[in-house]
Amino acid sequence: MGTSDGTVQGLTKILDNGPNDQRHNVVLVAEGFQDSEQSDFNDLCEQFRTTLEAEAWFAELGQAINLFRLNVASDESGADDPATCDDGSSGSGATPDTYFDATYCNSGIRRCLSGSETIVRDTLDAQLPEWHTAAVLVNSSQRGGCASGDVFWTAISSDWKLVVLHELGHSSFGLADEYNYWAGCSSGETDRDHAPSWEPSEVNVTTEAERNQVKWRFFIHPTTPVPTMVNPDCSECDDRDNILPDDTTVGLYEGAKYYHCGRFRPAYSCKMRNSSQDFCRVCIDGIADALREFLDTDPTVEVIPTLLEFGDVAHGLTMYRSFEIRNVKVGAPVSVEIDLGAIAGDAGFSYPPDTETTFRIPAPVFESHLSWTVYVAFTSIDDGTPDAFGSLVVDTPGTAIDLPRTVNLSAMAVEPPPVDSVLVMDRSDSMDGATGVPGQMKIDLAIDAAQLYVSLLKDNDRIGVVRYNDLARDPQDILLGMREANATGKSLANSALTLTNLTPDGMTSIGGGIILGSSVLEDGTADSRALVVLTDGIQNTDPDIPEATTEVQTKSPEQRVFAVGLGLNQLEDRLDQIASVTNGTAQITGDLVDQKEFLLQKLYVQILSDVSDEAFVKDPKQMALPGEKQSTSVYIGEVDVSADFIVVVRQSRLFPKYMTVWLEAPDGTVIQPSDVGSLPNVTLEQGQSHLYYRWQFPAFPGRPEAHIGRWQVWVRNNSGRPNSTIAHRDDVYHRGEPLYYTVMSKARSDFRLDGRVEQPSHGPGSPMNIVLRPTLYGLPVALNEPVTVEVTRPDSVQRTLTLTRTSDGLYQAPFGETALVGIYRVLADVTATTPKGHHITRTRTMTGTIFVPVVTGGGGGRGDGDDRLVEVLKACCEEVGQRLDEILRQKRDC
Amino acid sequence: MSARQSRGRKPKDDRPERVRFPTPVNRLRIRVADGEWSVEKQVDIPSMTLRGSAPRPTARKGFGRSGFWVDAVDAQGRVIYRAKQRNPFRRTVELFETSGEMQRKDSKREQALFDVLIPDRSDIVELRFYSSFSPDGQRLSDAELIHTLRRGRDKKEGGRYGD
Repeated sequence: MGTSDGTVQGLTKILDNGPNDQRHNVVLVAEGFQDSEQSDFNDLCEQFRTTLEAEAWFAELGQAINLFRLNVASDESGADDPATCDDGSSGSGATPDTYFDATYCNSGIRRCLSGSETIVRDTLDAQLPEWHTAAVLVNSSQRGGCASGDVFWTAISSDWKLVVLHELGHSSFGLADEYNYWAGCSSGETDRDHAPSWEPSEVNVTTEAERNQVKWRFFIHPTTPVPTMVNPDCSECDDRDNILPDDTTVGLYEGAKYYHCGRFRPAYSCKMRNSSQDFCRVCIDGIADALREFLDTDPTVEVIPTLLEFGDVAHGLTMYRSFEIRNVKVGAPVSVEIDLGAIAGDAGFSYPPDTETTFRIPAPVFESHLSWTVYVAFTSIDDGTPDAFGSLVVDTPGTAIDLPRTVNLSAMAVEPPPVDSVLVMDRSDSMDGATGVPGQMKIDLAIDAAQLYVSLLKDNDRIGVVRYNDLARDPQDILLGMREANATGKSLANSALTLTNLTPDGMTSIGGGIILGSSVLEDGTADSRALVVLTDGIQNTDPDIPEATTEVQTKSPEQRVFAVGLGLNQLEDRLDQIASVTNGTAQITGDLVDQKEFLLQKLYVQILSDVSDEAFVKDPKQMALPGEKQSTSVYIGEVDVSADFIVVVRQSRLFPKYMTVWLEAPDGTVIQPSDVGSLPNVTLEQGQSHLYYRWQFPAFPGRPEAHIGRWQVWVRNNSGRPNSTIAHRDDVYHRGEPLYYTVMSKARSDFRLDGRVEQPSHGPGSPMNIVLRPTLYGLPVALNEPVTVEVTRPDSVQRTLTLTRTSDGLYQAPFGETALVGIYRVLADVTATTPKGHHITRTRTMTGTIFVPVVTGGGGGRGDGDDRLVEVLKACCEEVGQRLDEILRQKRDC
Repeated sequence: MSARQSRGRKPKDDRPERVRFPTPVNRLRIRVADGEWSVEKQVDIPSMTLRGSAPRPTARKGFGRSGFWVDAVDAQGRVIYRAKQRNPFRRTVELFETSGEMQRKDSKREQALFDVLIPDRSDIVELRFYSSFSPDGQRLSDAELIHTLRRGRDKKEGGRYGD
């Protein structure tokens, strides 16, 4: 028996990829093949070589492997097949004389086919001392096989080559089984429901279900859910169809390494789960890692870019920048270990929490390169030295490649950048019109909104005010040249924004107003400049808006035009254009009734948020009955640096005099107006129709996170209180009246929400595309799903649209119900979760407009694109037009 | 490094110093029977390449480590090379169906025979065997040191491994 039952004929290298001492050496060993059957064995070895070479990974990694056949002639064919076995099976009783004494029924299991491991190993030692793995092919077609570490046995059944590949997965590449049972799903086994608390050491199975902890997280696409599939019934195998369309997509599938639940595998299918399948991408990565030392390649690493410029970062804000470390395939693909050094240099630079500074970039087996993105944060602090420089080193320990590389960091810590604004106020005759708000003419609301805008400016901002009707003259209509918006400047601005200065009269030259405002804005000093143009009518006196557009576009720094149509259901499309080409916005209010009562103020605050690079948080309208108190919630996260909690009220005899506004911080701290003087980080400002608390965070000394969470803005209607101690009483006060107000909040924040309504044209039926662009630390960020906007059509019908995220981080939704002429108000009220898990909200109001071109009287007619329609309308309405002209002439004469 | 600058850095893993290949290698054939360990054979291979040294197996809090590995350590206890391989004490066999499905059955195997490939370096003084199964096939709550082999230092022993 044993070595006396045959002869070792010799070793043949059938796949030669290099010196034996530098390659992974796999040996196919003949057992139970007689001398006359050696050619059969040779054919089998060729078949396996072909199978191996056909593996997807082999073209890239196969050069690490040498394949040998070890011809051993046995005296007789086959393997022992005991007549009886402990598992109750019966065999032929054959006992052929073979070199390695292969036999079925090892360990009492018929199909466990193996023989003398000692002889196999000793033979291999003699023939090829550098052998790594051996597959013993037993000349029998009866199913069977057994494995013992780096030596495994298999009969020549129909699927033997797949069995060998699977076993190579274990012995050569260190991969785990991925099937989710032990004896079989239908075996009735009950001890395989829940995996025990051991983390498998293999690369392709895990107990970890957290995305950023999963071993193969590198290969999980951000849009792939994790876990990808969870077994709903741990008492059974999960045999449901894949929820993903591709069974090779890498995710996190529950059910692996002999357990129904508690262990996860990378893909729905893999050769380590079913030998008839291909290896999954994670297992191929394991193969690449196992073969790394056998490849004559050092990794090629690129760092892009090597300079991170953060630019100007306002104090308190954190900005992120990233660089990419690429493992580039040059020659054979190999993985690379990366070591990120500590950040050296000035304070403020840091790695984000949980940054991995030692990691492995897998081998780019099928890709030109694989990359790892590293984020670096810069938190701007006011330490007296605005310039900040730092560096970090990227190294690959243990390799001879051209590293380390240094990534240099550069940032400038600056004051919150100032904003220069000029308010361009329409005082044409029509501004004397009603608004829908009781007792308030258009000019009254315009003054209120403008004063709110002025009030919210920072001390280092600048403000100017001009007015226009059909005239916009220098200097008569410059109500305030550019002034710093400190207390004096704000006082001067408010003195300019009076009914006396803005008495409605005359016709409308929006272009003239813009040109005058633009010339005033030239005296500004800030890089961020805004013209806030209010109009309630149609351009009818030269200079026309296109002329103003040309003028504004010549200015440097850029002047952004923000146009607001007060009470309008249709805005000059040329105002849209000037806003568009100057990177501003154009909005219209429609009638200021019901929920839109405070829309004008809100749009002004939103404009200021836009030009200040801030975020708009909240804007509900409320009504408090006499004696009632109400609260409005505003969510603040760690990404918010400062916030204004603004309350705007409808003015009346009683209000804002008989109202109280106080705050409740997330930790329950109540801040009354009288507390403001004793707190270092809050101020309270009051105007005629508004007040606001302005906070710098952290809100409270010694409690750095007490401001994070839900703030409540409390408003109490003090009117109608019978036991009031307020001395002044009259019937109105005694009865009280409802308090109409709105709460807004804008924050200087690392979390921003920009948005727009894209309209290729404005004709009825033209589609709109609603776009939101949320960013965190200057980078695109996911919002909490679902992301919806509410569109209110001109007929007040509301539609809720769900936006989908695009690959570049935008959220978009088309809107096609645009048959009606008028304004389409779009309200986005979205939530996100901050990196620390806090809930924050952002609100944005946008408008789309649908209209048919109109005929304008006087100067500044529409451009030639609508000339034909104008002619048609003129012809149709000649009589009406003549009458209008007459009225307008009379009006001018007056 | 300031506190701010160190924020968010995770500790590095314990990957041993890289061994350059090819290099002389010792193949140890180890038999474990009835709790007794014996080096049945030691083959000194003049030049060979091995799989790269494995990182230290880890597990999250509350979980044990699973697997089988051999640490080759120097006189200071530093790991020179770590060989991770199939656990020879797990008594099971894998059976294949023609459909590609597999199943496992418990084996009655009484002893384990396995090879360990270790760089043949004079600074290696000891091999430490870690396993999540005991040699008698019992599951341990965490992989633990189950055996140590020392490398002979004097001329007579000639770098042979033994207890």
